[in-house]
Amino acid sequence: MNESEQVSPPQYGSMTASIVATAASLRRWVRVIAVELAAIGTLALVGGHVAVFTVAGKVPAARGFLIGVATCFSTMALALLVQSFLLFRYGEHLEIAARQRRSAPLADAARYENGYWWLTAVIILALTLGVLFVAVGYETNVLEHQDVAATAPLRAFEAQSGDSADVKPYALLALVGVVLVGFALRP
Amino acid sequence: MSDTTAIPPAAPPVRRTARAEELPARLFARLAASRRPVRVVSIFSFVVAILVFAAGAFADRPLWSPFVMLTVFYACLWLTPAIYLFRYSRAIDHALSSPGAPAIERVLRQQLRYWRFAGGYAVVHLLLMIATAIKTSL
Repeated sequence: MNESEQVSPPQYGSMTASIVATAASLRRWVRVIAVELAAIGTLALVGGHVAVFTVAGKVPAARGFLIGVATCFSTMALALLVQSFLLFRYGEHLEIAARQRRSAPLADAARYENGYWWLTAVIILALTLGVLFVAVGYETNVLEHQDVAATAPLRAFEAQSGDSADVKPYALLALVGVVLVGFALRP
Repeated sequence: MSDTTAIPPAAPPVRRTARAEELPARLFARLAASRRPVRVVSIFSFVVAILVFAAGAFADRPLWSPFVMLTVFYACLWLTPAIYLFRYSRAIDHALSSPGAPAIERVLRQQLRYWRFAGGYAVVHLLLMIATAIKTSL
């Protein structure tokens, strides 16, 4: 083939020291999240089942409902553990990219990150659908008998922190939130 | 001739420099695939933040009350990752329209901001959970 006929591959730039440094820093925080997701997933899997089966032993009539709850717990816990695994792998590849100063592991890392975001989006859509179903059930009075139990935590909070309670700690929390948003908006 | 002049100085170790390697095309292809779910998560967080804020704003309570302050806090807690993720997805858009090292650097920096927030929140959350567990067990 004539040399002039050869098509040169597209240029995407090269790996810079700044990219390497950012990847190294990114790896640290990704690890933190991965550990927390693994901890929550394990707790949900073990603790959730222990709690559900303890109640099931005491209230045999509610066994079917509790098995449903246990299934939800398991699904959620497994999703969290898969997310944790994906982030671990993401962190590993970021570490390789930073250590070897190569861009190929960065592309491999992006694959795990992509998987993490898709799974997160699916979980969020599933949760939204779940909330919608509960809302529809509530509106059609299917869940009417559970009203008292469902709103118990809210009423407990209201009792603890009524309008007469000291507002200063809560105002401080609100201020922290506003500062966080301001921090996120900085260029 | 002395011995010291006979021994040549040790050559510096051969190290792959950061500029040696081109960024692969598949990196951009994978970023393109991540853009949509990142935006979905961002929009979801934004909607939740608005709903939580609305719950406080339309509550039949004075503005200077614990309930309203707490809703402001939670709304901000949802709004912050929404902003980070939205900027991350915009950085991906930019990287896809004009691929290059600066664009990738920007993508990673935006992502780092999000993970730093999420990591900090995760640490605080875990500490609070442990403190609550200890308090209830005592």
